[in-house]
Amino acid sequence: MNIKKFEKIALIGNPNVGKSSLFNILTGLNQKTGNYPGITVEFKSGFFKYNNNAYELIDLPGVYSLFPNSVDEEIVFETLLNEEHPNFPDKVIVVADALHLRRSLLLFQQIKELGFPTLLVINMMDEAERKGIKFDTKKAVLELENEVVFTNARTKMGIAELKAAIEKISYKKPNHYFEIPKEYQSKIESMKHIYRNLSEYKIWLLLAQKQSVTFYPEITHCKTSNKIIPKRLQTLETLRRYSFLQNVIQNVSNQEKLINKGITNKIDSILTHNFFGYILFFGLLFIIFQALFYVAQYPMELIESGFSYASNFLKNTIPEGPIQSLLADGLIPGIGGVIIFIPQIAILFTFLILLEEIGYMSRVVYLMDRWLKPFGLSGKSVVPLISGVACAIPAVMSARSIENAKERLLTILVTPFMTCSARLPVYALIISIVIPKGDWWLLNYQGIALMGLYILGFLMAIFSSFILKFFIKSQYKSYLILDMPIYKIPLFSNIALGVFNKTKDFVLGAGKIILAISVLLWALGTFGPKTEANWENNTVWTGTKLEDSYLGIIGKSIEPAIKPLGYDWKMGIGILSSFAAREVFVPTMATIYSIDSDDENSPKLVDKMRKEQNPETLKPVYNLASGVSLLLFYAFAMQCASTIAIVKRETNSWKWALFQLVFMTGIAYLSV
Amino acid sequence: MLKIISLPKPLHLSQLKKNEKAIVIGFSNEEYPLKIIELGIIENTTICIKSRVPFNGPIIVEFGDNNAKIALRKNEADCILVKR
Repeated sequence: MNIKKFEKIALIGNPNVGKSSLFNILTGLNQKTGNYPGITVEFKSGFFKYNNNAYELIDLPGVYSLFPNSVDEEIVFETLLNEEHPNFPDKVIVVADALHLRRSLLLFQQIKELGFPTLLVINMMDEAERKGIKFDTKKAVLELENEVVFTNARTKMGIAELKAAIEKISYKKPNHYFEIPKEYQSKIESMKHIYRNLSEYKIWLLLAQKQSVTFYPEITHCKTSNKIIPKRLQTLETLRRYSFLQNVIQNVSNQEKLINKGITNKIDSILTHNFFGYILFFGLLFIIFQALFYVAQYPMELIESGFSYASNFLKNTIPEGPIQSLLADGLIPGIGGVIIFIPQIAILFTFLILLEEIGYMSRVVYLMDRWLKPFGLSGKSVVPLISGVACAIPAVMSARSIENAKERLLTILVTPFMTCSARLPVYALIISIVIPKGDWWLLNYQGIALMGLYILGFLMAIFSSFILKFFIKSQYKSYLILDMPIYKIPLFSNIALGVFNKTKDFVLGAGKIILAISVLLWALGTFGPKTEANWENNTVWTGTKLEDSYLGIIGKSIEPAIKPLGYDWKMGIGILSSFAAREVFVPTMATIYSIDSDDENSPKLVDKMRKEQNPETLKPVYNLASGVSLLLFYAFAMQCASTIAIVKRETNSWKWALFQLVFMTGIAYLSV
Repeated sequence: MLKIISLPKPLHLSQLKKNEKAIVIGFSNEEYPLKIIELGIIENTTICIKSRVPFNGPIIVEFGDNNAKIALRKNEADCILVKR
């Protein structure tokens, strides 16, 4: 008899208040990442049941107020103010930080005055206790005119009370509210004639927005025609609320004397030190890279051999024919090509989420901001740039927290220069062919070449950002204001869930495209205009010779364009297929060379490619020059359909996505 | 409403020495980002610099009753006026 669907509850709060811990505790594994159709934004929601009531909990990005400055913050504003929004909540839970209650209550008051049935959760009680802060529950409920629950996500204290309170969330009209200054009354009255069901406070809040609000166009119009300066309204409201809240906090909490037991300052004296801070950061980067390449290599080899076993198994059990070929040469390697990235992506996100949970990431932003600023980037670009080493897709998405539109755009545009894990197999293959084995002191040539390519990617990223910053205009002044949270022992469940969700997003998002391309390539490489003739002549399926397949025809037709680079048509096919996803190069070359020879005990791909000769000059096709140019091409060219799709979504325009494609590939073509 | 202070010789936050305590008295111009206020740096807040990156890099300040810590660029720190 449950006619009503899920009750939608938005979870909102300042950054670093343990909001996502509460979200994880309440919803567990019942989480999903969704997309709004037609809108550029992605959101996280989860489901839970309590006393036979079902709830959908929507996790909104951390904000300090409803005066947005970044894309993340605009998401929160629009979700709560636009009643047409698919995630417009029925109720709101505001998570507050017991240590910095005043800051949290500012947001709480704003949301409550919008008219939402609201529950206030004061979290991080353990930290408050440690500092000697005590709360008077009865007074808190009285003074804040709202239900209040005290929790501690770390020890799960108060979770039962929280669930019980969620069931009872209701709206109580407050006696105290923000009084709209007289000088704005007349404008608000005139707007009320147009939007009858908007409250006065809502109109005020809409007038106080810097950005134009598309879902209430008349208000934006009123703002510009009356020359209202939003910043003044914002300052006024914030200061008035703070002077009121100062008294409230003194009444509901008492702090006999400040106990400065925290170890945060001691840790910070090393981690933000002007010398040791950097040493430790680069040391940490080194450990992350080691883990990415050496630790990940074992599960990756396991996955690779597993899939080649599956492929061979199919070849031996299913009779020869297009179905066998589709499964063994198309589908299985395609799925394998996606799964192979999971170890690296999972390891990288384990580190990133762990560092974020501890509270270290803000310190990295602080340390790096000075050095990235001259290139038009911000300290906050560090996370996208590091993530770019695994995969540009989550990296580009993580740029969302950068407030300044120009810094964010630059970060998005240059992040794909970072050497992502998809380039690694390509580099490894080509390096092993053209760079001689041998040592220089203790360093191995091939190792140096690989490291050089990583450094090259990073240098190219900041160099092109430096160039592009002169061509991109910025509406707002860039600034950096960042909370430095106290250091915390990370919660294992938060990390596990975070890594699981990020990896799942990658497999389901990028994976689909990589898989589709692999199958498409298989089809193009297996069939050709002459296939039908083959069928008629032979009762046995032989496939088509690569040169006669559609893929071969395409490869040959682009040969004139790549000949100046010193490539042959086979490399052309490899490059062309790489525009879908770079890592496709290796299986493509494998396909090209194994389709080409009917030899059963075929030698390894590396040896085959090494032996390949130019029919005119009889010199090896893969020499040092063509090898290096191929490496450079892969380092610079924008060859990833999924990244293009994500950049389009994140910048909300094809302009920047296509600009990036042309820019990066242009550099690649010219440099080789 | 916000005061634009023009008293003699107010100090910019960035002029303080490390660990030197001061009190916020206002903002030097209207270009201050609102986020500074939202985070709780308002008039009469005690504030001190905990660390800074050389070559005019960002600054970490500690402020308020509960020792909140935030990082700011020098430009933002210049907007905040303090007295010793």
